Amino acid sequence: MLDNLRDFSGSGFLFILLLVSIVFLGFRLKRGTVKTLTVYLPIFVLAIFFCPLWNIYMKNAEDGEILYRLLWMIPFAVVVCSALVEAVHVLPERYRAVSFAAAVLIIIISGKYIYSNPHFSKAENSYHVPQDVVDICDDIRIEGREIRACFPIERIQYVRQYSPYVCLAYGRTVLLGNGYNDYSQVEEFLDDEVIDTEGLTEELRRVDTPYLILKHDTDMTEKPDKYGFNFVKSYGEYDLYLDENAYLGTWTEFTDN
Amino acid sequence: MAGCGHGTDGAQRYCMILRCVIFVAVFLPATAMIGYNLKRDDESQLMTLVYGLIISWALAFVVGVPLIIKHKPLSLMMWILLALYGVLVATGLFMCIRRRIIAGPKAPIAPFKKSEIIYLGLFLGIVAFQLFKAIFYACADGDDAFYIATARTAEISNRMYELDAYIGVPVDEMPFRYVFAPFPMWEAVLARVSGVHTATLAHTILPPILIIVTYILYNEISKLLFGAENREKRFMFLTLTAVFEMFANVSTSTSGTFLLTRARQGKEALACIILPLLFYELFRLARAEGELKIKDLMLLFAAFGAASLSSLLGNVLAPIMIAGAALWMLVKRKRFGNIVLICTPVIISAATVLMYLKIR
Repeated sequence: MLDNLRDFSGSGFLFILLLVSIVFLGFRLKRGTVKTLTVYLPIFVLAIFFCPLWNIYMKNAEDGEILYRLLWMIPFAVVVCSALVEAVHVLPERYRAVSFAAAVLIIIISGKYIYSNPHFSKAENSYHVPQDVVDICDDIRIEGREIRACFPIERIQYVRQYSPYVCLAYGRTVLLGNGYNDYSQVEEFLDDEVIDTEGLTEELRRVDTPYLILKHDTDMTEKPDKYGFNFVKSYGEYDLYLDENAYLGTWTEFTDN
Repeated sequence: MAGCGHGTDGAQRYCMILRCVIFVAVFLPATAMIGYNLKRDDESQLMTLVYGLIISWALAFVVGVPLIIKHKPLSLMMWILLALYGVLVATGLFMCIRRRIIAGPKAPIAPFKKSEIIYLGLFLGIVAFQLFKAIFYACADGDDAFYIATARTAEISNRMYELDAYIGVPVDEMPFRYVFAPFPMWEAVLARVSGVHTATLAHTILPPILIIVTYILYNEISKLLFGAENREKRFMFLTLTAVFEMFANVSTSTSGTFLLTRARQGKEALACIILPLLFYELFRLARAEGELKIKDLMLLFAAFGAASLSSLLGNVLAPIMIAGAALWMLVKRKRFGNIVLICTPVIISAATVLMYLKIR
């Protein structure tokens, strides 16, 4: 459980702030509903979280690492902030503005600013999907059928959020490493420092993937066009290649012919 | 842009914005009217939005899971839900009008003190900043590759959990862990009804709504903590909670991080709305000395249904919270009948877990 707690509490300062708040409210509040909910309930949840029986569960269950979610039952913000409000009001009114500023400062010092998260970036569109993914998906779409494409690993999470008409040669399961048998071995080629172009294009044809998207600066043994994957267009820092043997009509046309 | 015809880029964008505006203009009042069915007299009107969502989620769970297991199309789930939501909107509207007619003139609001205005202004400013970030900034989260793609795939294919969200091939076996928490199907239904792209709905429209709902709950909790009339303490508390959530990024697992980075996933709904709502309900229950009214019980049932929709773990966390309340009632020697009653919603979680274990 300690690993779970470490994963959950990060630096640990907010968790310490929670514990201090519980102790403070425990002394400050008289017996009553507020004390029951802000002091005894968090203690009850903490007792459950630290129950040694979870260790047995963690040894046998696949999802033992998510037990930190038990701590969601403690309304951290409510407990900590009600303690801070009480603490601010312990002092005389003339110090209230200063003590409020101190309370804000305590939160800021103990925590970590959420928008400093590197995963935040200005949205390029209302889908919150990179515009290059949107443009590629729109351009390769064929009315009446799906089309399969191989995107670089940093783009695969966005593709099917935007367009389910574009199927992928490999999915996010390759990042999860949980033993899923994916559709192809394409990602093994993409993982190499210098991509084996012949092996990659062979594998793409094996799994009916006519479109290949790569970064401009991708190191490859040869250019994809040597093996019939011709350059089509650039989208920002990505290049789109198309298999010259690919059938791009609809299935109805295909079966009619 | 999908679903907006083949006009120019500008026309398509205009069409999409119009759809989003229409969606919000219909969704919010309809949800509030659904929530009116469970609103208690002493609560603010804003709570109808919270209850409306909770009821919508509970119904989506009850209707969705059997249909998914039976391989029925999403459109069927959509029509059943629309019918149910329609009935609840009508009854909510009726109750709202009746209450307006019966109720006498509203008590005048006491003038705001300077300090109250400052704290309220700070709070609203911080929340506005968070909403701006939620709408205009993208926060990449790998789990969206499953949840949002699953919703989008269902919206377009009309099939629920039958296609692999990652690569698009038909699945050999449904991912039952997710089938029993089909929050993405609720989003798919909304997208299909409104014509708004699922990704737009999930990334741009829902996050601000869910963030606001969380703060509505905090506002109501503040009334229980400090008393409705103690506005200075309440507004100071709300300001601090808004700051707290913004600095809760000590890990990817805190509820604050979920609130401001993943307000589109079932787990966020569980951590930031459903569990705080249960906390609020237990607060009210403790204040009422364990006396349960019919609306309290209905709300608990709805919260348990919503917890099941949001995440499989919701079937564990919600019962633990109720177990805590039951324990408190036992210690305080409250009426045994009420202790039994408060535990009845656990049936939903137990049935879900048992079905999951049997079917997986």
